[in-house]
Amino acid sequence: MQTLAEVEEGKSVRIVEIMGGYGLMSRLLRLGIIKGAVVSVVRNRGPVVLRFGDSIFAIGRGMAMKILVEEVVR
Amino acid sequence: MSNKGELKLVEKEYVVGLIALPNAGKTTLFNFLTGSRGYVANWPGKTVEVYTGFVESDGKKVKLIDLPGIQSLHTLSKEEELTKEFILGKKYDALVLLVNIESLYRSLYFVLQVLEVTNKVVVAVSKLDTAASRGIKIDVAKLEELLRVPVVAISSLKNIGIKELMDKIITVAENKHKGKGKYKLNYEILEEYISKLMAMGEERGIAVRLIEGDSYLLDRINQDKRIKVEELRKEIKKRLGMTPEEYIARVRYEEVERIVKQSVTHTERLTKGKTFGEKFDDFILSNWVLGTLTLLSLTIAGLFVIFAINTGFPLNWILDNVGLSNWATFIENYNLGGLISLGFSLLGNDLVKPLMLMLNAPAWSIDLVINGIIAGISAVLSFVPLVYMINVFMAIVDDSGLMARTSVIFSKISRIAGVSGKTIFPIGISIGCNVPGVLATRILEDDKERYRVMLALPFIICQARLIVMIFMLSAFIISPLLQTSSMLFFYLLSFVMFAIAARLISTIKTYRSEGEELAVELPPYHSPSWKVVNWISWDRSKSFITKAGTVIFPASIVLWLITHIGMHGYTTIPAQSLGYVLGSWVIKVFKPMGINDWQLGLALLSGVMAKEVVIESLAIAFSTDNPIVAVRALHLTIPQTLSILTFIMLYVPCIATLAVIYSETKNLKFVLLNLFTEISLALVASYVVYAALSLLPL
Ligand SMILES: Nc1nc2c(ncn2[C@@H]2O[C@H](COP(=O)(O)OP(=O)(O)O)[C@@H](O)[C@H]2O)c(=O)[nH]1
Ligand SMILES: [Mg+2]
Repeated sequence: MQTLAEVEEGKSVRIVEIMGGYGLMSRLLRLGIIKGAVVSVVRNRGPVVLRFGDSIFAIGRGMAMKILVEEVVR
Repeated sequence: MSNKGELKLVEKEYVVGLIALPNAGKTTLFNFLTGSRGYVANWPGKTVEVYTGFVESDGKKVKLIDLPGIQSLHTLSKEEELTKEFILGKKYDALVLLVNIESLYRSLYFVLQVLEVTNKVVVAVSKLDTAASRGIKIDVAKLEELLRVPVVAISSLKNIGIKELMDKIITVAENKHKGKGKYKLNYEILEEYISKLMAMGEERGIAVRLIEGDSYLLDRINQDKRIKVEELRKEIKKRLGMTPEEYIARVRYEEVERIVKQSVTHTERLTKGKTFGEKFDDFILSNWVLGTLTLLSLTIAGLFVIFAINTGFPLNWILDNVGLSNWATFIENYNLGGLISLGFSLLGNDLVKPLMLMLNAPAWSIDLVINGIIAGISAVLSFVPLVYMINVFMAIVDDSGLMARTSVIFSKISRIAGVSGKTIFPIGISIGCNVPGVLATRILEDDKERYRVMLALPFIICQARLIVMIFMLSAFIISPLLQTSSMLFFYLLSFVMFAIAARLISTIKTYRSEGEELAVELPPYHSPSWKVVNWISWDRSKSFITKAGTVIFPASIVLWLITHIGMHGYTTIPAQSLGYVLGSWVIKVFKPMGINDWQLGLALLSGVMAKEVVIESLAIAFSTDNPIVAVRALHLTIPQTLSILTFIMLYVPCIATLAVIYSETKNLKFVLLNLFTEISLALVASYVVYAALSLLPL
């Protein structure tokens, strides 16, 4: 298990756990990012840029470090 | 004739709400449908601006309401809340839900949420013209079958599907859509809980939202029900090992995926390899320094041009420093703001004044008309071109997709103040002028953050304060090195104070946000439509005139009264006016620094009107035409100069700024909090500066 901040660029991962309070969770939920979602990491320097569905999102590194993910083998 | 009139009265007018996530193309569609004839007005009982326009289709009249964009039904701002209330309130004949073809998943997720509450819906897939280049094809009939409401694919820019959209709107408004019943999503395990709430008299859609923990709805049901809902939520959490909102979101997303799979086919993308936008993103997002420099220079360049045209600043200053002082003077006199003031002063002195003299009007009334009323109108109108151009700039940045990138790039710095990266725009604009700076806080999507920024923004030193700064520094400080370092110090101080104020206010619970960290969508780049940008910017500027103008104007009259009314009525001698009393009273605060001149007190008071007036008012108070003589008459030492300047840089920016803060919030308590914070922090800072400098051998 790793955090989203540690995922290599180009890899796809499934979100396993969002650690952190209601605030963090609801902010991600507003964008539609939830536990179980499969996202691919587009860029991982500074803020983490990820693709989810057909949209691209950027989230802060601190936030990414609170998101536990597992790799998805395609 | 009269018959016709009566017919008009009974003619049915369908109320149709236009709803979408931000960036879906709502404004563009509204503009196309209403032909720029929509009007903007505050929603009854709210400070939210809503556009309304009328469209006729086959003799049927539609009242189209362009509701604020909404990210999610979990709302963060009064704008989003209004849209949510509108959806839940059901006082419409149809809703148009715009689905952004560029983010189908998120859009459809939102559509499912709305369909739970109402089926008086037309779904319009926007920006159809971009489908081919994005490599997707949408099966409209399939989508219609799955969602059970009419679906159209449109392009507002290329005029595709618009007539069909209107037809479908009318069909829904007249309840003539023949679908296979209502859309219903099966929540499996949750169904038994939903049924329980429905048995208590809630509609299904509301029951689902309550189980999701919708705080807006929870606040609006009775105590018993609320307790019941909380019980159910606890039970669900225990049973599923996750919160009900997570479970519900998951079920909806699975449904969205099914829908997309069945109705969207992927074709080959027209553009091979990376698009320009993707390459640009690679460039700015991969290297923080490069990204910051790129976006900062773009922003500065844009604002530089706008302020140079409107106020001459900072081009005049640069020209002066490279030895082109003739050019500098030219720009100072012939910028837009300057020309408007010139026009009004000509109107006052060469037209109104002679006219009033001819009519034997008393001296006080001439003074009031020219220096109170006309000056007040001029103060409002001279802002208009600036506000318009800033609106254009912001609309371009927003519609192009650059805004979201800026938010990402600057989040690192802006987090110091606990605000999002977009705040760079209100701050940057405020360096020119705080008034459009405050207006620019509309880009912030969280109201609490918006209040924090509005409280801190007045600390940003604007051009008017820079002029006072340069004047006082050159009057009392000879060393160019000390002058320059003082200037740098003041700008640095203003940013520090911004951060302190923003942090301070978040200690009050009402102004604290849920999470401060960055989380934004990066939409694809677009070239904005000039027609739409121009229309919306003019409209916003017009609303500025009426809303802020009604506060700025009376305030300038009040200030005229203070400086022209005394114990014996009207006076032109400041030492006999109410201003003298108030000025002597204000300056007491600076006694510890050894400053006692009531003239300065009066100048500080007038500075509340506008900072340009500080110097002018000193000149009047010392009865001289030469401002430098007036300033020097204060005989300030270096510590005194820097300390009083610290105060001038930080206390109340001007009445116009306070006026827009009020018209944007309609919250007098907040404006008073603003005043209090500014004055108290300015005082503390000026004491500290004086104390520190007194210890130094200057
Ligand atoms: N290609 C294309 N772009 C569009 C269309 N409609 C809107 N846009 C662009 O999408 C962006 C967002 O549009 P806007 O109307 O401001 O969206 P809003 O946030 O929903 O009001 C702008 O850059 C528009 O120019 C369309 O039909 N075709
Ligand atoms: Mg819009």
